[in-house]
Amino acid sequence: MSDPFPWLIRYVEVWVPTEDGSHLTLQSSRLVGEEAADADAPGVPDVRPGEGVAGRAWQQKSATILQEDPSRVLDGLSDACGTTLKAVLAIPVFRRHEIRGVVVLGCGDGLGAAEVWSRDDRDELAVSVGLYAGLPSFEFISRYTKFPKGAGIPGKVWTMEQPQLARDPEQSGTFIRSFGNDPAQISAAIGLPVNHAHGFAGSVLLLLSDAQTPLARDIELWECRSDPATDEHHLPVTELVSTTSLNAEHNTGTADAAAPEAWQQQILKQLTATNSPAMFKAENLALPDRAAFSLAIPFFRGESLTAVLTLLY
Amino acid sequence: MTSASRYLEIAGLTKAYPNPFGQDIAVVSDFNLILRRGEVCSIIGHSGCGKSTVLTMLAGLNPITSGALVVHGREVVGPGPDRAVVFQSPCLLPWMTAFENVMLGVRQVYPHGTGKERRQICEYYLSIVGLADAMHRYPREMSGGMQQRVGIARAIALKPRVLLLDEPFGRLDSLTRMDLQDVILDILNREHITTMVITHDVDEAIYMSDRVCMMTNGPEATVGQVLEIPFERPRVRSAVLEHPDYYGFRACLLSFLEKQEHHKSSHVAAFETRQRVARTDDDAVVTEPVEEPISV
Repeated sequence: MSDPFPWLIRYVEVWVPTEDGSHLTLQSSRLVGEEAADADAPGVPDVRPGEGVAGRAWQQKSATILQEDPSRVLDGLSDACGTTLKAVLAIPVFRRHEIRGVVVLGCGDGLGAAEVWSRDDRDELAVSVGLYAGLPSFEFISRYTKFPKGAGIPGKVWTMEQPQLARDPEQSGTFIRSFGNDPAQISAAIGLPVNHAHGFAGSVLLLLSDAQTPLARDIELWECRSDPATDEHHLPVTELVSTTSLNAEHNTGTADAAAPEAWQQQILKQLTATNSPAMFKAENLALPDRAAFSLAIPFFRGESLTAVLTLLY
Repeated sequence: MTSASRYLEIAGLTKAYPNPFGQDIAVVSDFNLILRRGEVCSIIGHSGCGKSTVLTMLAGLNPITSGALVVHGREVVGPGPDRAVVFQSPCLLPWMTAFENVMLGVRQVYPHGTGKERRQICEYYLSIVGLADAMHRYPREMSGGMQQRVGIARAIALKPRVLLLDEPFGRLDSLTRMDLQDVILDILNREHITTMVITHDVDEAIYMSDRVCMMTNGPEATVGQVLEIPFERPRVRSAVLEHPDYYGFRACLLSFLEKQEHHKSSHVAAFETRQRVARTDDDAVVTEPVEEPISV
C-alpha cells in the first residue's frame, strides 16, 4: 500500500499499565506510512514513573515533547524503528487517578508543530515546550501568546476537558497566531487534554500539521456518553454520541447521529473493557479508507469515557 | 498564588441583552482575564465587539449577567473610587475650572483631609499632566488635549486601584496622542496603577501595554488570545520602535484585526443561524446546529 504523503507521525507506541499498576509495559509499536509494520522492539523494559519518555509523561501528568536528547533516547528509538525521528511526543491517559496508558508518537521530517500548553500562575495556558517546522512567525508569536480558559483550541480543551479537532483552521478567520508568510500552511489542528482525578490536569498537547505532511490519513474524534456499570460483573455502557472527522463526509452531528459502524463499535467495546489506548490492525478489523491500522486514545472525565480520538493510517 | 498576581480577576464574564423575540443575546460571553498588580493591559478588537461593555462592567456602571469581577480580592458590585475611568470625551463640568473639576472627586475620596491637603493633591496631579499653568482655566478655554489631561488628572487624583481608559486618545491628533501616552506612562511608572486600556490603535497597544488582549467579534465576543509584550519599563518610544520584535507583534495584531473584519459577516451569519428557531407544523422547536470557527 502506497501513501500519497509522508506522515508527520512516523512511529507509534502504546504503553499500558502492568497488572499491579506499578509499571508501564510496551503493548505495541508500529511504523507509519508505506512501510507500516509492527516495529521490532524486543526486550524493551517496563518503565516506572519518571523513566523514559512514557514514564516521564506519567510522572508529570503532562504531555511531553522530547527533542533535545542528551540521553540519546531519540537516536536509540530511531535506530530501533529504522526511521529518523526528529522528536518524540508522549501523552498520558488517566482514569481518575489511575494511569491507563501512555501514547508515544515519533515525528519525522515534515511541516507542522507540536506544543505542550501548561497552566501558569495566573490560570492561563502558555507554551512550555514547542516543536516547530516551517513556521518561524508562528513559533515567534507562540512564545508570547497566552490562552485564558475558553480561548483558542488549548483554552477550549481546558473548558471542555475534551479533545478538540479543527479542519483548515487558517480558513476560520480566528487563526490568530498565523500572521506571517510561513512556508507551512496549517491544515489540521488537534488539542488533547491530560485529565487526572476529576478533571483537567493543566496540560494540553496541540498538534498542527501541513497538508503536505498530515498527522494521519484521517482523524476522528468521537464524543461518547457512558452509563456506569450496574454492578461489578458488567461493563459500563458507552454510546457514540457524535463523530467529528478531518474528512467532512464522516461527520455526524448530535442531532442525527448515525449508528456507529462496526469498526467503531469494536474499538469502543475494547476501550470500554480495558480503559486503555490501543492499536487496531486492518487484519483484525475492517478499517475505513484502506487504513492499515488505527490508534485509538480514550479520554476520561472522572471514571467516564467521554471521548475517543482515532488516528487512521 | 498571591493577590498581587491576581490583582484584577475577570472570570466567566457574560453580558446579555434581550432581543425583540424574548431571547437573551450575549454580546460578551465567558470572558476570562487576570492582571497582576501594576500591569497595563490593552484590549483591542473591532468596533462594537464589546470592549467598552467589558470596561463599563468593570467600572461598575453596567450590571453583569453572569461571571465575576474581583479587584484586590473584593468583588465589584457597583461603581467605586477604587476604579477610575477616563472616557474618550473628558466630560468636564463646563462651569468649573480644571482645578474645581479635579477637586470634585478629591473631596469625595478624602473627606477627612484638610482643605490644604486636598488642594495640594489637585495641584500635584494637574501639574504632572502638564497643566500647572492652566489649572484655573475653564474647559471652554482649553484645547481637547488639555481637557483630556484634566480628565486624566481627575482620575489619577482619586488614587484608584484600577485605572480604566476607554479610548482616551481617540479624538486627539497624533502628536497630542503620543504626548498623552507618555504622560500616562509616566504616571503609571510612578504610581503602579493596574490599568486597562481600550484602543483600536495597535501601536498604542504595544507601546503602552504589558499585555494585549485580542477580543473576538460579537455577538458572544470573548478573549481570542492574550499577547505578552516583553519590553522593559520605563519605555522609550524610539527604543520600542527599533526593537527587533516590535514589527512581529504589530503584524500579529494587525492580522488579527484584518481576519476579524474579514470574517465578521460570516460569524454574525453563523450566530443568527444558531439562534434561528424553525417551527415545524406541530410547533416543535428545532435549533439548527452550526459548526463554529475555532482559534488556535
